[in-house]
Amino acid sequence: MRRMKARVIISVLLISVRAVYPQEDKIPGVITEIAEELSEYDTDADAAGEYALRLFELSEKPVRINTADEQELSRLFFLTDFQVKALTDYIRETGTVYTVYEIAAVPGFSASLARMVAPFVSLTDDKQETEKPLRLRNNILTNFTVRHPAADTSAPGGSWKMLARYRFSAGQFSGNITTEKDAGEKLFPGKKPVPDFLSASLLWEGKGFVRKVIVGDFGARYGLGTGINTGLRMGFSLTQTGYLSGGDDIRPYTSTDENLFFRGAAVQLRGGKTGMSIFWSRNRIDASTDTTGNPEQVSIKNFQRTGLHTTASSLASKDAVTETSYGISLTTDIKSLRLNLLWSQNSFSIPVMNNDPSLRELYDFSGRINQIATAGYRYMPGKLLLYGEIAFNSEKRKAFVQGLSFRPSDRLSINMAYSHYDPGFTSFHGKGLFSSSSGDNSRGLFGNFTFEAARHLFLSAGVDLKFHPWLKYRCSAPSYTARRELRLSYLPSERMSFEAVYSQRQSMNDRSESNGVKKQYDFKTSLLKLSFRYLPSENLTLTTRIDRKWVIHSGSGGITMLQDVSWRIRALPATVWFRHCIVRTSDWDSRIYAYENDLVHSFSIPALWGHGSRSYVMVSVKPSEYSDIRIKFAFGNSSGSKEGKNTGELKIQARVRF
Amino acid sequence: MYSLHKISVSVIFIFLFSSASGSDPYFPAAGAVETGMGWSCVMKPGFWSSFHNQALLPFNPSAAAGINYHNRFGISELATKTAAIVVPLENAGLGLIYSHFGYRDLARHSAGLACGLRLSEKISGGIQADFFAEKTAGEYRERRSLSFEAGLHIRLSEQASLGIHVFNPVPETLRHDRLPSSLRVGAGLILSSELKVSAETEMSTEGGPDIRAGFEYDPVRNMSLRGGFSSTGNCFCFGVGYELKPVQIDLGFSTHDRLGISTAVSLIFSFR
Repeated sequence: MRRMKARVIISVLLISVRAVYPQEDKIPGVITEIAEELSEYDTDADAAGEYALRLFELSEKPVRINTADEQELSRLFFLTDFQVKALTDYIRETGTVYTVYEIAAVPGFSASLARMVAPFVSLTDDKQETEKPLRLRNNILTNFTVRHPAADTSAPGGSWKMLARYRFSAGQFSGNITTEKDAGEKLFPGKKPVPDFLSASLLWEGKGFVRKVIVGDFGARYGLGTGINTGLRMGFSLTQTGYLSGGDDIRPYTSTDENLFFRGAAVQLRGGKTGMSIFWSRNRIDASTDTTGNPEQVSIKNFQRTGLHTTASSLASKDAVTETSYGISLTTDIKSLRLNLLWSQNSFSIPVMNNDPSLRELYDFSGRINQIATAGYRYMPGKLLLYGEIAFNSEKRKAFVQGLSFRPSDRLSINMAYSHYDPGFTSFHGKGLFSSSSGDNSRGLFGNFTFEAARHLFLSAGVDLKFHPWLKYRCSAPSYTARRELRLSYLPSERMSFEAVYSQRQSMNDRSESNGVKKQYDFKTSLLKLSFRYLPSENLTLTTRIDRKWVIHSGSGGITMLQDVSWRIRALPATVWFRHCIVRTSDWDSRIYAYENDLVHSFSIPALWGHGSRSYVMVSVKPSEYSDIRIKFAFGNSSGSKEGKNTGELKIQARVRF
Repeated sequence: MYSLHKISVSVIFIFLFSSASGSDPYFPAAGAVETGMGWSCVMKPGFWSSFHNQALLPFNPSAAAGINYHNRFGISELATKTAAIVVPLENAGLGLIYSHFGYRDLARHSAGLACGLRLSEKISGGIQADFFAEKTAGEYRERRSLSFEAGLHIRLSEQASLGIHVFNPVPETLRHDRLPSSLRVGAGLILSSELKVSAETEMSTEGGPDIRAGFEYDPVRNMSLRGGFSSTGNCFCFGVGYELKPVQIDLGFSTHDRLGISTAVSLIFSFR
């Protein structure tokens, strides 16, 4: 084995062209694809930012693979359970990994996947780490954003947006404080000098029985997430793995979504192969209230999730309700089988009333308390992975997910899953596998495969079919949605890649012109994406991309062509990014989303539509080892722009580490 | 004598399909070589190509001056006259171009000062500052615009190369008048010492994508035959060139599915 390993290392060192991954390129292609896919659904657009944040955090605190156990390796959340297990086995059998290119030799990994993993792993071991003196590390980040034209000129606060974040770590302790002011909000909306959004947490991590203790704001995910998952929804990429590695996780909250987090304390314990997690939270959340139906009883009319407080009504709904949540989770591993149980309860200070509901709202949650119980498993014998979870809430509505993944050979992997979410199954902090943003009212079947058709040539395809037995937003009848995607990737060398993606989306919507009983029509779009990426040198990256979209029912369509140039100037040291994008679409329906590089910990995926262009220039300068400044200027002119013909955006970021 | 109707229809078509960048088939910057190849030249070194992609300027072997006459659809009122000069420097090149389109009642003057630089063994870049002045008879005011364009050239291998060019990536708010913006990307291959092929695509804010392909074949020493296609207007192109040192003369022809044939002739004098 050692000889084989040596051969691998030598051959890799001899033949590999060392690709360079500066900070800006740490967002793997797969993640940007997922982020763009998410943005197709407006309600999920914030999740893209969550993805970016998780990746940046991972790059700042990479996984030390040489000493990592399976739990630690699962922090590489874009890997499948198969890949995590294969990597764990490889490290256990062969010992120290000397170069990340060695990972390409692990079953289930390819050169491109190894490249993707590279920025997020460290080859140093714990021993080296502990030899370093314990010291306090501080990290301060500030973002300032101003847009032209301002979104809402009547808003009470300035049109600029500000984010400030402080993080520290010292040995087993770490903590963070985050504040944010959105455009149009006042910096201090109340009488006290407290910013519109303020979040803080303190984390202690251990390796014994007590693994993690968090006090303050935190996020959590248990099992497949049908009960609790405040982070990323799993299983929405059609041609990627479909199932991201599971495992219970509690983590300090560092995002800026102002409502979907817990505020209190959480503990994660582990003894042998059994783990337990307990959490308690009391958080004030935004909701609009009224007294309809019972003048003596104030009730929640609906929850406000935007986090924007720029109008009288949104200011009135700010922190209007206290939500108390607590729960307990148990996990145990029996050889290849992992079992997990969760019980949790949410209660609100005033009840949610569903008075006089429309037919669509018939199953919406009413009451003060919602309990969820889930039971799940994961079984991985050899090249087969079976997983599932069932959840019930207090209304005895259920969610059920059953999936199957198998890898008949190292070149082929296949995923299939069935999901069932009862109308009325409500989980206020859940994001289950293959759930939609509304979370319930669907029965779905999903399948995909990834096949290494030839050397450097990858073919993948996926289908996601969903049936909605009850009415839903913009559709007053039982309906279905379908997504299909075919992806062809050719990676002839470390420096060059071609990709072609053809995808289709189909859903049923109400006809706007129909009176009385609403009639529906099929809303169907097709999208073809062609991209070419090339690294002519270690300091220069070029990406050319052409997207073509068709909207079948209206006959409208759109096309975009963009060129990205990323150039690292070592002498300064600085990095410059430039993009020029030409857009021509018939209407909003034929809009096209394109990921943009942005400030660290930020994400930008503008919807491109109308006739015009969008460009940006971003410069990152690193005056010292301990600080960097990033400035982005984006501008566009388009007949279809929502804000007007000419738009501009200036973002400035400063980071200091000491 | 051509009817006023045909002239006006042609002008409408030109402005409907063209960008002021000169990269549109019916508003080329210049070059009979480029016309003959269907304007698929963003990666192909050459005297006139240096103004289609300024990153090609360092590839000019010697100082040269050239003139070009492009007669659209055989209508002299729609002709473009261009003059240019290039000066090679060590690992760099400078270029100056002047162009005049139109006639007494509708004229556009454009001038550009370009610079190209070899950034590394494989990569070169270039930039050009542009000035446009449009004059229309009657009560219409004269319009003047300033902008810039820039390009990159990358040698993928001994046989393959890549060209990227952007025109006018400038916020509209910084200028008084609207100018279109365009993006152009292409790749070229040297199949043998006699045959070169190229393909590119361009998208402009004033028109849909234009896909182009072209070839250049040298059957005998000093002589070249060219052909090409551009998807806008289903335009087929062909051309011929002959080099009689220090002079190079080229002819190019392009068809339009509705407006007929355009002719380009250019003369380049090299100062060796």
